[in-house]
Amino acid sequence: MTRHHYDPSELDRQDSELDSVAERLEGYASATRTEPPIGLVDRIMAAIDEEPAPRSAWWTRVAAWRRPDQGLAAAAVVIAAITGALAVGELVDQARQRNVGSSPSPRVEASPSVAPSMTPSPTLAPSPSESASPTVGPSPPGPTVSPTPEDASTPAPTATDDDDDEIETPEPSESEHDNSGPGGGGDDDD
Amino acid sequence: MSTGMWPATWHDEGVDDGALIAAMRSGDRQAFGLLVERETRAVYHACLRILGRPQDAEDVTQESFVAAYRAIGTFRGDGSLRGWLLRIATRQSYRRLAQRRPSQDLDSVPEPRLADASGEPTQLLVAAEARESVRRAVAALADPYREVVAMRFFADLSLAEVAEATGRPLNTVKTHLRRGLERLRPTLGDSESGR
Repeated sequence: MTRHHYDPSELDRQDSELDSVAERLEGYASATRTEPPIGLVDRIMAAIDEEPAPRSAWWTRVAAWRRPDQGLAAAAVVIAAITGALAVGELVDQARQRNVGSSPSPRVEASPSVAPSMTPSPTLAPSPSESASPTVGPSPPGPTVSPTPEDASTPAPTATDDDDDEIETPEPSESEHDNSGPGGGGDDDD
Repeated sequence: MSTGMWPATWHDEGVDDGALIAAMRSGDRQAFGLLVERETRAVYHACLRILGRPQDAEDVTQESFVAAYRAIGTFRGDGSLRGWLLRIATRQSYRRLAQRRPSQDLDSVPEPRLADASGEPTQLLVAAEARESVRRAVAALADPYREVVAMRFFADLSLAEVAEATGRPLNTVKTHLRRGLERLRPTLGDSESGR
């Protein structure tokens, strides 16, 4: 084994003090050159024998292909996978466009949000009569009933309007997704 | 160094890293055995210079080879196999050093088989203390200066090999070495040689 002796020109700068530090490190290294004990290689190999076979990374497997037909086959598989993925994406896009163009009614999938908002509407019916009652007479059940119908009555008339809004709101949100997709280049830090 | 235990297909001389790496990746333990025979001395020296104790150096040498065996599949082959292996050994050694309890350092005994043993007990003691001060000073450096100084002087790698093994540009490695030496100057740059 050849030693790489320190050369002051290594640092591209003349500095006698740094050279003295380097020489001291070199002196230490040359003084510490004890031979490894006999049997160390066997000990290491015994430890290696207990290890499972190493797993190679994917790039090394790719680089290990020596026969050109293997490489071509792998390339064909990769190309087929990419084309298939693109075709599936195209079909999905077409299906979406058909659904959007033909009937907006499928967007009634927002109906779960409509259902809870419709529930206050039955309470809306009694609310005018109930809310009028406390102003007219100091009947005991009046005050307890009136706050809830008043609160419930405010969302109730807007419930149908909200339904329309909910149908339209997904469009801006989709455009946001479109903007975030190609703009997600976070590799600029490199 | 003669192999002795390997068949004629493998020889110490003339087997390039590429063939060795390909064989090791395919699970050829004999190829890894050749690497062990070829590099045990260098790895052991690097570990001993960092750790100062032969027993620790043996353990860490073995650990380094086992770690290299496990990771051989991820070796990209950008630099030399030796540089890659010695970087693993350097890191493992400093990891071991960090795991030592402070009381163990106080019990540290001078190495019994050093080349500069002149016979005088006081001189031996002074030399042992000087070596200990070098080890401690380098170990106290922050990374990446410690890594570069250790790989350059304790693992006997050239700056180009250090650059390849660490994946850093050569000029960056030079800068790291220079700054590392500058940080060592207060403790090692005095007129006291201790050698």
